[in-house]
Amino acid sequence: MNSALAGWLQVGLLIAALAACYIPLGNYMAKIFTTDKHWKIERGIFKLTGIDPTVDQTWGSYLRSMLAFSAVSVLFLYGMQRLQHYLLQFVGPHMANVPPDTAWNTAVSFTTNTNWQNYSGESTMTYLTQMSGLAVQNFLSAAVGLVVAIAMIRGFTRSRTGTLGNFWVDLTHATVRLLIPLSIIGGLVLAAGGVVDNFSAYHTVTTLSGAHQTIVGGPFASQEVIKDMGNNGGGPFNANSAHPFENPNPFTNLFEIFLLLLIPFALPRTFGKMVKDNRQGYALVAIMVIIWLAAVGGISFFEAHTATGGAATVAAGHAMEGVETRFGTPGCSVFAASTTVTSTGAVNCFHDSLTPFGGGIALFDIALGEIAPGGIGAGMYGILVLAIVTVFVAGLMVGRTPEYIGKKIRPTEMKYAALYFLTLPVVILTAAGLSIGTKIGQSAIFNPGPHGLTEIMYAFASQANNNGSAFAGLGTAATWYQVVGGIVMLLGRFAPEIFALGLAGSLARQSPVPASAGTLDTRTPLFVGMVVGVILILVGLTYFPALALGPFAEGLH
Amino acid sequence: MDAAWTRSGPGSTRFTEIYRVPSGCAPAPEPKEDLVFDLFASDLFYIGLTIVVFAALWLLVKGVERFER
Repeated sequence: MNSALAGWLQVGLLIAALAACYIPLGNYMAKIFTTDKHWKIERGIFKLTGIDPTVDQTWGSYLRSMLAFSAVSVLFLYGMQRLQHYLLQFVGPHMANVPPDTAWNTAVSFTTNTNWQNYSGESTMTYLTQMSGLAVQNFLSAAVGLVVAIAMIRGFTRSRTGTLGNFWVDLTHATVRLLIPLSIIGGLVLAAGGVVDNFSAYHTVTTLSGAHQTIVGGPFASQEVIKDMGNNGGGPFNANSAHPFENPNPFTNLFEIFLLLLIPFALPRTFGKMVKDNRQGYALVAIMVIIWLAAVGGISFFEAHTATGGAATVAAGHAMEGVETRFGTPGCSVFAASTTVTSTGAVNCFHDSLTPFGGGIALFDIALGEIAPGGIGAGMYGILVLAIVTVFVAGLMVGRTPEYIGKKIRPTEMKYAALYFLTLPVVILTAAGLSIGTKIGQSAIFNPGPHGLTEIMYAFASQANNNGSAFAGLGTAATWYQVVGGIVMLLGRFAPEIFALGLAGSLARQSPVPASAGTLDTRTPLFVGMVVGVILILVGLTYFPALALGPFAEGLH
Repeated sequence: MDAAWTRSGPGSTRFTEIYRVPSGCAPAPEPKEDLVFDLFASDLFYIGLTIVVFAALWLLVKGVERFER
């Protein structure tokens, strides 16, 4: 079969599977975050941890709970890595303690849902660290992102109140009722598809040519599912989803892409259900689908269009460098687009080897700021902020009343939206500028010129947007990049959430405004088109100089 | 122990012999005294850095709440 046709069939299958899950999963998520009833196991957790599930928190209190939980998570995971040699190592290979800078960067990375990895999992982490440290954070960091989105939605559904729910209850519901059950199902599917899952020790074998090769075992299927579904991206292997033990065949590849997109694409339905207007959800999911399809189409085109590559690309017919032959460029392109628009960061091909324009699109996807469909939860609150900006711009342009879902968009809300949107560019461009402008930052750049600039931009954009995929070719294991990268991940994750929940708190205090003749209908194709336009203009204007000097300059050379 | 697959590019993974443990349950080499001090200082630095960044975020929340009032 023609590989381009196979690629588009794959996209068609994905859309069909995601469409089938949109309503049931979206409705289910709305139900678990609106119910007052708790399961027995949840009541046990609340009792054990001293949580009063009847208490409603203000946005500030909700945020402080989240920050405290995340700070403890970072310190716990750091300690676990630093002491892993002395902790129980009853199964699997024995490993030394992780060096301090790598341990801190990794702890921050997994707690912020970034999963940027400056280490090879198979030669650095014990099974215990992988399972009870990193994989636990894969669940919890995903749940944290999700509950912030739910709190943001409550800003629209609640009126004349300063409260947005209970962080601890939401976190427990998200983990117990959603992530764990789906992970069990998904893990079984992956294991049935051939993903390795055992507690085997590593074996060194002699190959037919007489060389020695280490065959790695481990609990991979159980971690792979939450790695993808939680939009985490940090796998047990350095090669991530390009490794045959994590992603052995085209079926598992397609299933992993499905997992990346499953919850983010269902969240607009949850939003529609919670605000009691499903058409609002359809409008948001349409925006996400348009941007995702554009990213898939763009990367697929440039990876298959040999004129943009060199002699090897022309000879191979596709840009095959850094691509797994099991998946080909269509499998790589759909995965690369999906992992960068969802803030996942898992990879099944080498992004540094994408064609200049293909890599430029991946960078642009990340720079979009987790909105199409974005990271788990992060995509939802990100697109809601951008919808608010669009309503405001529309109000200025055509004289409509700036309202969204029955709430007025006043100067206070716009200040929050502006601060939300400005945070990431400030963090990314400051860190990239410091790295390019200082000797200590420059010393880790191995590719000079436009490609080197793209690598630095990609690294900090990936970390700040909590994506975690790497362009590689940059010595990010240097202490400078470990420390600055860690700070960038923390600020990129939590500072926008502060402004998003501040905005939600401000909306929740308002009285609802009935729709009038002057209200812009935010359920129409016109509004969908406007939001897409606002997103492209805002991101384009912010990052155009960096994109022009990096991937565009390289591609046009 | 060698990784089955390593990321290309110098410096992308960094393991010194001090941190490396051979397979087969062998104990880690005993670090030298000055190295132990360096590691302890590094641990303190990273724990302190975590506290400082989260404290800054905490203050940002307080600041925004104050601005609201």
